[in-house]
Amino acid sequence: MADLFVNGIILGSIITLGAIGVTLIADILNFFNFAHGDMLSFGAYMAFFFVGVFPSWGNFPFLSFGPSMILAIILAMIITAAFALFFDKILFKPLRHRGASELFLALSSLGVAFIFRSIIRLVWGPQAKYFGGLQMARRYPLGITIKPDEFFIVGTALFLVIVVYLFLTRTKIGKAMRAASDNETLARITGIDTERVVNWTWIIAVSLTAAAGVLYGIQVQLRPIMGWNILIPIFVAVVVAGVGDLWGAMVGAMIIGVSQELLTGLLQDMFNSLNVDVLMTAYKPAIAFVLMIIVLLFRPQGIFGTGE
Amino acid sequence: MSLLTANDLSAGYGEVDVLHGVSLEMNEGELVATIGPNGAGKTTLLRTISGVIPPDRGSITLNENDITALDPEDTIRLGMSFVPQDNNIFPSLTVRENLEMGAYTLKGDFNDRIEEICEIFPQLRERMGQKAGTMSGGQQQMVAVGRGMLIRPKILLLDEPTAGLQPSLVKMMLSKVEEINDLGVAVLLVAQTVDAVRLAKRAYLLSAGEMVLSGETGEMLETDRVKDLYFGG
Amino acid sequence: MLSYFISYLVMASTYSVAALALNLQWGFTGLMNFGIGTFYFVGAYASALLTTTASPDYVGGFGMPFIVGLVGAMAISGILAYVLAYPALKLRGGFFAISMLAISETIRLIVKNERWLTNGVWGIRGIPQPTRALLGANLAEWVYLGLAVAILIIVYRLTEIGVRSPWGRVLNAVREDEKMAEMSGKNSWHIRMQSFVFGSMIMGVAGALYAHYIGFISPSSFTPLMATFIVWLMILLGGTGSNKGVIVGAFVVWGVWIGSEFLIDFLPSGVTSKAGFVRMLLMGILLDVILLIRPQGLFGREKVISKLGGKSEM
Repeated sequence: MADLFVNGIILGSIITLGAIGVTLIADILNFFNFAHGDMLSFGAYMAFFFVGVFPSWGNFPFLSFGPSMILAIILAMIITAAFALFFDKILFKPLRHRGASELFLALSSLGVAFIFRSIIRLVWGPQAKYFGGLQMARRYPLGITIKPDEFFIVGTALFLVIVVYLFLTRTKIGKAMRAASDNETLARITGIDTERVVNWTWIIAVSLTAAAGVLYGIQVQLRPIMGWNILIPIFVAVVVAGVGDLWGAMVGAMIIGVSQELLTGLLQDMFNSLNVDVLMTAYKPAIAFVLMIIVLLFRPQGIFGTGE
Repeated sequence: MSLLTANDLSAGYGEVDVLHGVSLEMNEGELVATIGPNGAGKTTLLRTISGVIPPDRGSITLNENDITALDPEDTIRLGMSFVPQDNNIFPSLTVRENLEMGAYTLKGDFNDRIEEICEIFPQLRERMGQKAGTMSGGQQQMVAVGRGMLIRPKILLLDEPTAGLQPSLVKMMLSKVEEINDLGVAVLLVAQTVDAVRLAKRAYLLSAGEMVLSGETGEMLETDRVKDLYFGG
Repeated sequence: MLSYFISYLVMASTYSVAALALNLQWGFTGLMNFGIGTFYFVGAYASALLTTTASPDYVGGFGMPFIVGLVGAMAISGILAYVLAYPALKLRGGFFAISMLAISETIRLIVKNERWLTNGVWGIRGIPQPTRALLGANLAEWVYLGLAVAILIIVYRLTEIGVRSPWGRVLNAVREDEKMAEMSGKNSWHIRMQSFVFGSMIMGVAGALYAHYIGFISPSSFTPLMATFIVWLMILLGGTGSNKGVIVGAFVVWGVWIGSEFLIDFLPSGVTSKAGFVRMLLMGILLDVILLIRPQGLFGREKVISKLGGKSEM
């Protein structure tokens, strides 16, 4: 139980980074970005590329990688965000200026998702890739097992959340982003440069999801489909919390991460004791989905949403 | 001399025009009221002047600058602030952050300006850290007007700043409008009560998207059309 | 060469049926179904299980005739849609799209993992093509083409009658303004439900047509996501809201799809293994280009059917 809970926190911290971006885009650009998951994969593969290019500077104590990974994460974030800005310029911006509906924008992001995924497959092939060697998990009380790398994953995610929090509450453009997500018309009336807000939204949202991709790759492996698979839990986290702020996205992500792990384990035990032959781990993403349906049936505006 | 001139404005939403050839003129430091029945186009007029919606026809001049095709971002830089009637605050931002957004187009430090706002609305001073969305209607209205004042505007467009307020607050808000005008800020006020109209020396009567009457407030209030509007059934 | 052409026509007709189904849901009712491919997938499996000969590995096959498979595909897709409608249709816009996508992935997981039901990743082989045993492969191809075209015509006629009837006008009202339709006393939920279930049943038929033509299905040979994407592409190219248009869209997109296969033959051998990805890339780009430069498609609502000029250019 405790171990599953810890696994859930690890997964939840990766989902958090994705969910913050989806929330920001949904709030400020008014559509669900279906390319978010594939941007996550792209970030992971960019880091994979850089880790391979950089010389070996040795590993950090206890971890399976060294300083080159930190540099790779930063570069992956920058490059993936640059790609997102490029797609905004050639695709989303013209659509936005034409007054395209939410659904059109979502549909066009699905096209972008396909573009990212096929580029990944073309360049790196469909097989799984690994950042480094396998790492042994260490044992802790209550039957908890954690790989040292996983401390890095949670720590990095937490660090990035704090950075984004400070960005949104301490900088002028960050405050303007929150203002635009509150009330877009008033933001324009106030003289806020909405195109700049849009650009920064992409930069923050996509660099976070790129980092999430690298962390996910460190924890498991890199596959072209990795981002698409985690997109549903990310969406579910956002929907469950109710499209809103940073903390909502984070709490939603933790709820999804933990309940996905716990329910997978508990249901597996239950099926085993009933002698029903079902492999629950295969259904992890489906659990997120069932949770979403349950929440939406009782609270269509999400747990923290205030509704419109 | 003339600060703001709107000439033969037509504007609206999509295919439908709400304003049909509206003209008005305002001098520096003047307080002018716009009155008219619901749906006459008062709000649309303010939105058009401030640049939120582009006019289909006509021209707008501010201080001899042609602002007809400008966005709010640019009209703000020229010293014009617009405070809409509703949805005029950022609810999840603090009071201070709301005011800071009013200074978005400014460079550098504006703490002294926030202090100026606090002098007009002292109640805001101890609520700087409160989320604007959790405040009462009257306080939110103060935040909204305060936000509009941050650029030290030459002209403030106020859309029914007393809408939905209880009588005591209406009085307070109107005296604040007067106070702001006394600072030398021209105010174009969409007025819905006689008290609000009386603040102004001059008024324009808008009906079905056309400017039907204009003149001294005292005389305007004597005409049947205006009487019907405020005192009639 | 001729057999290539027949195969193209059969598949394009099959996809036209699918495109008509999505057009009913999105073009006429405004349901943004990002999981439409699921019903294609489910229809294919349902018909395959009903018509193949018994296997020790999975449920069925039941060795039923083709027509039972077709009706079964329709019924099971319809029942699935009916059950899913209860939670999903409460959601609007993007939320509905997300839930349909999630359903789609969930069903793919079930098909992939539950070997007792679907033979898992091994897929189902030997799905019978009607009249093949009787007439031989060559003639059966022609018969199947006739069958696919006949089903296309029936579905086209039915949807045309449907959308031009009072029912269709209500659909349009729901799409244009949900609140208005609700207020004018028409129960928009029921209308959306009917369109969703009916569209999904047609989608199931299309899936069955596919399965019996190809003879083999597996969760990796064709995913619900791919079906979803390609059908969306077809209706966007053809023109949302025009039944004729989406059929043209289906024939054009399938032509591009097949055509890109020929192109691959000219690529150096190192690249051919990645050809599928190039194709996917092209499809993604094509979708966004259509949305950018011709959002109403070739025969969209804004420029009505009189503008046939666009067709000859393609």
